[in-house]
Amino acid sequence: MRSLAVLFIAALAIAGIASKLAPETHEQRTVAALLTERDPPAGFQTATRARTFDFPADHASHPRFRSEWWYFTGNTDTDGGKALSFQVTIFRFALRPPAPASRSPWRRPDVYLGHFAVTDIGEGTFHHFERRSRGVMDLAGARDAPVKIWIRDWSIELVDPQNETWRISARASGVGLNLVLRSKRPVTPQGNNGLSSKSAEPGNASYYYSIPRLAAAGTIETPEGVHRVRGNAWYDHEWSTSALAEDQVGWDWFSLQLDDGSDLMFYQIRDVRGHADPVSHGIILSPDGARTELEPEGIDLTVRGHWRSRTSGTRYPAAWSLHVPGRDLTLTVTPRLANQEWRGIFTYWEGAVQVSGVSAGRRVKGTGYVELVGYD
Amino acid sequence: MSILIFKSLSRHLAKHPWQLGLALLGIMVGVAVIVAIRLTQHSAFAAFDAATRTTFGLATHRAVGRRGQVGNETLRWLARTFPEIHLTPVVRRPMTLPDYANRNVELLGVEPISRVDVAPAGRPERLSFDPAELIAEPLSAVINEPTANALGLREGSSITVRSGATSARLRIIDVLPPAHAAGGIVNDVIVVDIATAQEVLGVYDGVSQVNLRVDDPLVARELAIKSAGLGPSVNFELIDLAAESRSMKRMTAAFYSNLTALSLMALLVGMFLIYNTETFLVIQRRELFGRLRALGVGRKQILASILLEAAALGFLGSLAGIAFGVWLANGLLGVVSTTINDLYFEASIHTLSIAPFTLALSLAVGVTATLAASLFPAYSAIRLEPNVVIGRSGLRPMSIAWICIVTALAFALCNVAAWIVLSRSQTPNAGFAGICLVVIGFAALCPGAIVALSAGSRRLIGAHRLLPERLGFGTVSVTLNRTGTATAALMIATAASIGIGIMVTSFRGSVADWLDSVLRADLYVADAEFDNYSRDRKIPRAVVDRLERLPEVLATSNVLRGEADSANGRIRLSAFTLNAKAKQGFRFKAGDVQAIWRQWETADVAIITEPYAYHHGISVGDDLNITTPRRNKLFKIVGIYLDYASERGSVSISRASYDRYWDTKGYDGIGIYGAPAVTIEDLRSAVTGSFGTETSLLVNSTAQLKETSLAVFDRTFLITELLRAIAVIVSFIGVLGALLAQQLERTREYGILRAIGFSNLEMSRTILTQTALLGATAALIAIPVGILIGVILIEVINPRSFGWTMTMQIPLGLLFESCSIALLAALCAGLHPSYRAARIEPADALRYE
Repeated sequence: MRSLAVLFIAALAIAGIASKLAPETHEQRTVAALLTERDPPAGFQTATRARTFDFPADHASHPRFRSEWWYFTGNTDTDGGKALSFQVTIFRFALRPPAPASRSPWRRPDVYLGHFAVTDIGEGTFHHFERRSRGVMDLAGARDAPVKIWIRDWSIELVDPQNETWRISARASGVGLNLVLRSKRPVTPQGNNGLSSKSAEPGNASYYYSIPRLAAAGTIETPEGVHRVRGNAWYDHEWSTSALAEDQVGWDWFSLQLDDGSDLMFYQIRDVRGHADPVSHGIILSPDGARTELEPEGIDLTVRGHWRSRTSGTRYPAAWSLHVPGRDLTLTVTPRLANQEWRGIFTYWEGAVQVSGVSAGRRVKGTGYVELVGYD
Repeated sequence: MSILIFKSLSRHLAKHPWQLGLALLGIMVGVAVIVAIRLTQHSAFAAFDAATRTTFGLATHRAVGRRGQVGNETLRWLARTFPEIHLTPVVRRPMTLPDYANRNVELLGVEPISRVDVAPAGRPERLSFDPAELIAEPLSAVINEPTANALGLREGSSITVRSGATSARLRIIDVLPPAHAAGGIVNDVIVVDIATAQEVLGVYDGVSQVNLRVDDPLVARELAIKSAGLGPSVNFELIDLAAESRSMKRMTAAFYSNLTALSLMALLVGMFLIYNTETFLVIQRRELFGRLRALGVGRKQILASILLEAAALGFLGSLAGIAFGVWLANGLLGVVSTTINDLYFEASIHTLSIAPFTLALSLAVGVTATLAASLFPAYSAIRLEPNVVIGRSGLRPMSIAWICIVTALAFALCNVAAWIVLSRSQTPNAGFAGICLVVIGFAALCPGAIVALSAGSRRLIGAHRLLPERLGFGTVSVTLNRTGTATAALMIATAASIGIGIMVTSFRGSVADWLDSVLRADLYVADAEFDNYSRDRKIPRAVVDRLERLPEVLATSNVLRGEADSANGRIRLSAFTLNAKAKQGFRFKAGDVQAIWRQWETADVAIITEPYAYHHGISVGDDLNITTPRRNKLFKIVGIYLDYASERGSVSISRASYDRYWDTKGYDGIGIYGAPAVTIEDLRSAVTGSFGTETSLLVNSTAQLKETSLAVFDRTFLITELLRAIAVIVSFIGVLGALLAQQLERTREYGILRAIGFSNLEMSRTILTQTALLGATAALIAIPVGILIGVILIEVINPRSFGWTMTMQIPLGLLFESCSIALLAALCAGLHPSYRAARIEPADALRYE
């Protein structure tokens, strides 16, 4: 779902909103425009039919599709009880479909974008870093076997395909992370057997799956020092050749992990009037793996508070109550730190949240990540 | 009341438009020259910055290959070893456009994605180029608007580029603004994606250079250390761009300080003209001031009105000066561009960039100078008592004794001050301050000199002969307060012209002598394709072997040039193999010649050029720590030699020493000494015949090299000469105007002469005698002052700016020429008044008597 983050920028750039959101350099704008061309050139495949995923092959890159990303988020605690949350994302964008080889090692169509963030809840700091590179000369790329996606020394590696164990590492300006993520749930296809629709238009869809809960262990480095950490992570992988529909302006995306062992994912696409698009969707996974689909009419999401960024001036929702009548589930979701606004090529809010509430009469709490795109 | 005063003052100006014009001209000249020089400097720096920005952006370092390119393995190593460093590859190659008479362009291959982190911030609204298309479409290119217009290209056009045997047809996908605009690019550069550049050139295993942005100084140090000792597959040379840019600008600063001094000299002349004019304006209106005072107008009010008038004149004159200066700067730009390209850095300086700050500053300088020059005349105006000025008696001539005292005092004070400044401070600016003081000191001599000269001339003529001349000599000292300043202005312009002329002549003479001394061989061989893009292209050893076997060749010498790191930063290092004759070419300023050549081959000794010694404060006996591929090595400095090739200076060692520590093979230049009785032509054909497959080798005779070197020298000083000419011409006009005004003022006097029976011819003789005397005074004083300026330029300013010493030469022709111009100006100034005086009706002129 986060996919749309990027595609959405096309709409922003075209509308000239992007420059209002952040004081950008023209090169940043250039790259943003480059990454968000609205009409993809001919020759790419599109996601039109449901597919059966094949692992570990589908963890790797799908170069016949225009865009693709690998997304890891998580909430961890240090041995000393300090809360550190993280995000590591690598995006791949093909400027053109794969073409006959040239003798120049630079003649490759893929451009990679890396986003890396660490939120230190106790210190109240949000560190975020961006990297861009062409997928050439080992600067950035995606390898099939063993699966590895990297941009310079930021990398996502499938170290044990049998047990779905990953290693992610990233470092920039005194902030870094090196984590091993062990899957605690099987791969969960999103949407209709992995075909996730973005609008009513056929083909305007992506292939999308998640591993909603992984046990994270390793080290996170902040300016305060290197910390041993443990916690929960979430993995998304999505690829497509699609874009948002004309009237769609943004979305809210939730991934929540509760202490009773259940996980919840929900997204709603907002139109220009602020209404949720009917394609909005979600799932609840019980501790035993039972899956419940969440349709917009079956969920009641109410904004309870707002936060305005002093840097960009953007006003974001900053507290929600989420009610699923059919499951007797009521949750309050609040950011663990208000300022987790991502300012890079494009500006959005992506941050760690905490959850508390009641599920079937029992008190639950938990953590998660929320992504908010398209606010001004 | 003050409006009334001002109205009455300005009415006078309106009635005397030529005086108004003269005042404005004086201010305009000074301001214009300052504006012109400042703007050309600004434009040159702007062009340099723009060129740097297009290629380097925010890069802090540049990795260049020791073999002319940075290989793919090296780039991978850099990216892997320093993941936090932003890096972007660049391919640069000079190309020609076969469809446009082989016009030269540069192909610049960039990587738009990584460039984002290395390029500077710009304004988004100026952006038009689509990097996605540039990357994704093979053979797509962007150029800037001026280039597109010059070539008649637009978006969608195609253009063929060629380099040697390779050529390609590129499609223009976008036209960008010129370099000085945000997001713009430099003229005559074709920007393509790095992949396209490699495909066009057929070079796939590397790039020309990699630009790096290192934010962390610790990482920068680690990079510098790691880049030093690398293996054969990973190999590059690291250049610190900030240091390079700083040294580039520092080097040109000396060049521009010379020009700035010239512009200040022009302003000084301008100030004298303003002073002169203001004095006139006061004297002419003394009657008016007297009436105003009699009517009860206070001194302060009159002072304020005069100063207000001066400020207004200063403002108008400065505005005109700015307009004229901008026009002048446009003309000078081409000349400056050539000099900068010859000497310092390659930048296409096509566009004049107007710096608002410079213009505002020049305006302020113009107004302030006018006010300062008006202070004394204004003060003398308010000192007048009403009863004195209403009468037509005029100002009393200054007493000779008073003139002598003031003159001597000013002369002594200024020269003592100059001596103190020159002996205490080591900066070039102190040198210029010294020149100014000397000039002002001598300018103070002018009135006294006029008196002395006129008295002397009268005595020479005797009491009864040549009455008109005698009268001329006699009256000239009476009008001293009017003629003194004009003469001083003429003297300054002439002296400045002589001083700069002496410096340039001496410099050129020294360079020519040095070339004669250093160019000992009969022929010189170099690689024609040697340039910055293939700096590792060397002449192979085999060529030297073949040359030495030729019967026509007696001996050879050779040189290998390169750069190395040292304790004093990056140095230019030359490794020489010298024969006895070549050794004679070195002229040592310090060091024992016998001892130098004795240890030259065997010991680790180095000789350095004079500028290098000056800039780094090194003397014979010091050690220089040079980084070699093996280890750091101390070279003992045994000699300092004369060299005008580079103002940065260079270090030379023997080839034998070089080969002990470096691995680079081959040569950059070979000197060939012909066998006895072999003509240059025979030697040349034998040498050319021995090259075989080395077709890119170029043979130059000593005469050709000397000619080329002096041509570069002349281009360098063209701007100096031009400015000098401009200053002389304009002060010529100014002085002409001043003298003219002063002569025209004396209509009544001429009426009396006519009335007592002076013929037309006699009238002319009187007037021309007066002006000729003024011209002669200016010329006579200008000769020693000019020589003194030359001495300060040669002995103080040039060594302090560049570290070069030179032998002073005083060209008599130049002295004669400059003095003739001064005399001519003075005589011309007398022509019109004598014509008018001849037509005066005595009755009209004496009507009020």
